[in-house]
Amino acid sequence: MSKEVRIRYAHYLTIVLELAISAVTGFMAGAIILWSLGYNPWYIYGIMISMGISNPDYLLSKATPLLLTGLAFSVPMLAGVFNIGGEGQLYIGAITSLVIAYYTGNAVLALLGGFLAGAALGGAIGALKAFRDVNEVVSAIMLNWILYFSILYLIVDKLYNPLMPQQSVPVPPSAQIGIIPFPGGGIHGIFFIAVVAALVTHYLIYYTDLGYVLRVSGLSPKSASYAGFNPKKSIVYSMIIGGGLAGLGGALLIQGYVHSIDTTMSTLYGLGFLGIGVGLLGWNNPLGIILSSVFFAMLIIGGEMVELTAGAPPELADTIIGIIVIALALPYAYKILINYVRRWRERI
Amino acid sequence: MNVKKAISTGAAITITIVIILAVAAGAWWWYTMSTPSQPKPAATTTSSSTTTTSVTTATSSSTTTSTTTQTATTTSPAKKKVRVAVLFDVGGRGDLSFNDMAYLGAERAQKELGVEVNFLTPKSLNDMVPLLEQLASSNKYDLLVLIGFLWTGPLNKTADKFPNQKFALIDSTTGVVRPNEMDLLFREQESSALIGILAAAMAYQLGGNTVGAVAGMDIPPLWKFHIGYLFGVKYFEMKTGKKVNFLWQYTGTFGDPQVGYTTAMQMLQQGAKVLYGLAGLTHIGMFNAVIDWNNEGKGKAFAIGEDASQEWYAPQYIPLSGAKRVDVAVYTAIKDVVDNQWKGGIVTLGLKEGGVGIWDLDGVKTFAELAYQTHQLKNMTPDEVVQIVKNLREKYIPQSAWQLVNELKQKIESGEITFKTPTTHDEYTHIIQELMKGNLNAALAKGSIS
Amino acid sequence: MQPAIMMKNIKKVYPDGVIALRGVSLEVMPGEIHGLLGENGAGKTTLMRILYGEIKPSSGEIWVFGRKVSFRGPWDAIKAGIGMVYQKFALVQSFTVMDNIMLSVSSINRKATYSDVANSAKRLMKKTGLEVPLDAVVEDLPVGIQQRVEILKTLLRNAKVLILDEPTSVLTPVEAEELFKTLKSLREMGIVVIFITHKLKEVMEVTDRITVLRKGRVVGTVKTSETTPAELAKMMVGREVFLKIERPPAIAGNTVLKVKDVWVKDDRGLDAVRGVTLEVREGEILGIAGVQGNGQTELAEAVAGLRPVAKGKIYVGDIDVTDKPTSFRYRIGLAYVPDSRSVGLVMDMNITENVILTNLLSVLSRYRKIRWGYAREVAHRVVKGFDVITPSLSAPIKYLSGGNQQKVMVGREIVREPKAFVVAEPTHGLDVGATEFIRKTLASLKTKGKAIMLISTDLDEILQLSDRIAVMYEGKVMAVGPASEFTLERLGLLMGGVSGE
Repeated sequence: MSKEVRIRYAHYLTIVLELAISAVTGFMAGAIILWSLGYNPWYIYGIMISMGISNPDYLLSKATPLLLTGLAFSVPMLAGVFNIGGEGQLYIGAITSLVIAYYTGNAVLALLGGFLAGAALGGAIGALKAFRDVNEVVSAIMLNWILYFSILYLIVDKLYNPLMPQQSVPVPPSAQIGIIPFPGGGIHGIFFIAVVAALVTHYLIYYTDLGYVLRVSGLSPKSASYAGFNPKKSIVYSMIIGGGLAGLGGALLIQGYVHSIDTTMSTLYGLGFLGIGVGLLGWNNPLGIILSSVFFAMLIIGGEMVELTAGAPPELADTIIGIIVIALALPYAYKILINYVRRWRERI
Repeated sequence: MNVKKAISTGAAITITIVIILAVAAGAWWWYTMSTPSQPKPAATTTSSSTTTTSVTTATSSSTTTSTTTQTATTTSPAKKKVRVAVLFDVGGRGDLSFNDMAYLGAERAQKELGVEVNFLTPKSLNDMVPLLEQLASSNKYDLLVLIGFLWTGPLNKTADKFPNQKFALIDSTTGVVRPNEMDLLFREQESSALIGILAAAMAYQLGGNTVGAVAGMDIPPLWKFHIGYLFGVKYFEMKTGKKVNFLWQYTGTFGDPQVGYTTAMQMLQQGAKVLYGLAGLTHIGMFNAVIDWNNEGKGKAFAIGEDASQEWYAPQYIPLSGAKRVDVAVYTAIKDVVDNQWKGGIVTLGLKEGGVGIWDLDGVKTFAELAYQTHQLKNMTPDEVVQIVKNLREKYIPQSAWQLVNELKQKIESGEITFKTPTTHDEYTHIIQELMKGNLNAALAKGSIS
Repeated sequence: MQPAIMMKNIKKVYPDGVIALRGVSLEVMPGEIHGLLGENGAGKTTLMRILYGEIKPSSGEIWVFGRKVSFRGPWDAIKAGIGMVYQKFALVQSFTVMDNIMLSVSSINRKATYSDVANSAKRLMKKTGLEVPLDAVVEDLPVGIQQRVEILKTLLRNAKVLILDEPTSVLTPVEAEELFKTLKSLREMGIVVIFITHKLKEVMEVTDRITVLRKGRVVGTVKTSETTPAELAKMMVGREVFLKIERPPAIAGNTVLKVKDVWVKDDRGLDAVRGVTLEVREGEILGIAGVQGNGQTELAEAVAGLRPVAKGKIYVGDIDVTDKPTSFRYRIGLAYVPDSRSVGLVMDMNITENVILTNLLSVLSRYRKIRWGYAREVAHRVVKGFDVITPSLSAPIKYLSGGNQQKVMVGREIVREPKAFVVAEPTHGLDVGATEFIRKTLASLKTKGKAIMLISTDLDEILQLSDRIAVMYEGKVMAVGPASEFTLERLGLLMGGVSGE
């Protein structure tokens, strides 16, 4: 074996080991909590996993918005921007797609509208950071809530369904996205589109000049300026891509899954925030995020079933999910932290 | 490099997840295989214990129920026990309102009817359709009880796919009659009419003549409250000859205490003495406004709660709560299945069925205890809450008002009068306009007031 | 006599497996100035950080004044009478000198009062000649004085052993002379000085004994009076070094890079470059000498387009690029090798990705896809052509040694075949082998007709390579002319702001 090959294998072995160790740690920590509360950990884990994957259609539909908000977090992260606004970008994508679908009945137009609305919002946050030095976290959180209440107003006051006033008008069937038939079964269209989006993002990040410039800007803004790239543009572009993906997530959710938004906003709320976990768990890698979104969806679905089958309060399942996800994301987060500390020390 | 790196990173993650799945699946398999007898004795003990309770309740309760339970258990001992899944609203238990009441109802059914109940809290509207499909196709449950209007759409989408699965939807309707779907609605007009009388009477006791309500969204369930409340106020005017000002405000939200606070403050400044909260979380803000109004010495005013008993929130200032007995609805639906009396379609629950009403002191105590257990009630014990409320009611609700209430209640329970339920916004506004003019009969579908 | 410091068989293996020290023993006698000599990466600084308690050794013993010690951290070392002055000073820039001294003293003596400390500081200043203005704000002081503050701080904490890490790297020759005088007077007071450096002349001038390290091992300890620079150099690198490299004659042609009355502001908005006019022609190296921080970096950045020009013009060939972006300048044949590898390289990216950093356009397909295959080819050419030692093209560049990183940084610019180079500190922190390689490369570029602007604080480098030399001081060019006009002494004076004549 050549030295190069050996090093590469050692590298991958470390990754696998790291993940395996953190997974075991996470599951063990959760098991201790479950055990101390009087539940059988293996029984609970068994439910979470077996019930989580028992309905593939549900699993993949649930994973779809998470996959896209995960990407919406990770693409800007690669360019050094912390996009906590996936939430708001998902909202605006969802409402735009709903309105377009309702008035035109055109699925493609609605999807495009959702993407563009999210991209515009993301771009605005990025532009504020790049050109007005507004912290992206602050502006994004504020915009999240502005959009939350604006959309609530629209649904309650303008777009409510007269037959079911607790919901908005529905997406007409012509604009809905259904099952794409494949030989030997079908696959839910929205998940398929989301995976394609992830693959395109992967291509964009690792195979085009734009992605390269974004990554350089994220890893070392000084090097980016040195190389003649404009780091400000990178911030804006990364947020446009990230925002667009979150917007697409909102559109897919509405057009292919729930078909309307409810007046408690439970349809949309929290998916953007979960995306941060999904992105970190997928190590900010689009292919990793495909897997982590499905894993996340499995845990959430399985977690719901824990209450039904084991009589445990739903908060318990959430706690366990939290522990597992934190443990799994830890090696990556740890690396980021170490890098940060090292940079800080070098400055002194 | 990047291609390979990315693919290998992806592969590494996949492998790890596969390892986790394999380990967990192995553990699961090991658990089920190595202890096959373990779950069974547990199940038998629970069933035996529930049978004993059902027997004891059977002996203590009326003979008719005892016979039905007896026959159910004796004629077909092999027949499996009735299994029910209660699916909460988003957010689940701990709301001290809808979801907790649903739990109480199911618990009562478990004790008294010997059914087995499981619970489930969905994360969002998005999860409702898949959850319904999953539970319905599992064929495990004789009945799925759905709490709250959010289930309406999802139920409408799934009910036809599973004709053998019974669904009970509480406090909402799909508008479609299906043999496997029971929609349980409340006749809120009946309880809010009684509240209207008491609110008007209390306003006069407090030295004013204005009552108000902080309402949520302009949607059909709220229309019913509006009609009932206004009807009660006007009934009071007619019977006593005392003029009452009526304030009604939609806040547009069920989830914003801040809006509830400001709306309530405006009403109090307009002279309102009693405010009725009809806006979920929003009217918690109304409660706070009333508390501040009293504490800051601006005058004395009372608040009235709705759905669950909310007196515990501020027993000095909340003498009453309207009752929307989700527990009764849940229990009714389960009982219909157990008694083989299941019928699809809409079932309405009113004063007569105990589905709506005014919470008595026992109810006040139940919810004060729930709040006490979850540490939301501090500084006093449930018994103190009950004592304060009892004194408040005795002091501020005159006997004459209770007479009016009982008189109207009697007319409603006997079926002498029934209320209209408007189906369009125009019909609703028309009824309100007529009521404001003093035309009480405009609100009635049957009977008349003179 | 009992040694002041005795380190026995010190080994240090970092968690990532890097072996920094492979069993080093060191004896420092009381009353001596002890030089610690070695190339970059020989382990000098690691050894001293172990002595200062900052790093724990993997094995080995440390004895201080006859007592065996095991430091948990620098605070323990300070209590044992050891003080260390780093290249980068630990001073609060916006505080006065006295505030800084107080801050450091109060960390070991909470009861110290302001006036007591001020008095003892004044007494010490008189005794050692370390005169500093106590009321001045640190950031207003020249680097040489700041260094004195650091030494004073250390002495006021009762240090008996003073470790200086490359103390002259930031000083002008005049300031360095001052420092040496101070060190000698400290020796008179009985303070032991350990002097880390890689400069031969300095150790010869100031030390009593010298310990030479190479690759984590002690090569030997010699008395300064019994050795020669050539012997030391041999010990350091393990082979004869040709300190003089062949300097091919200049065949200067057309002007390729021209800077005309350029004014540039630094990050604080102060004028860093004040009206500099320079020309670089084909086939020549223009060396820009000067002590760090006299505007050279700002000038280089302005030429590369990374810093706006307040006034003046910059030309590449005949094209006025004053207001053009960096990418445009690179495209028309300018290359810039910055003084910091963390700017010129993306440390978390691999070699291939770093090689295309300034070559991005050339590896793009028509649809703006990066042709990674071709990119790897280019990277391979850089690695082969510039003798970069690396396990793989996909190794993150941060795992390469400084010399190999520098080779990548210079090599990728050369394969672009630009007309003009601006090269800043190309051998800073590199070992002798890598230094020689880089310098030879620059010299051969010249023969290929490239124009090179070489910015360096290393006078040897300037003298070895340059055909013409310009000396910068406080943002101005003090003198410019053919290399033959400059001697080491004259350069030193010019860099210190003395125009001579």
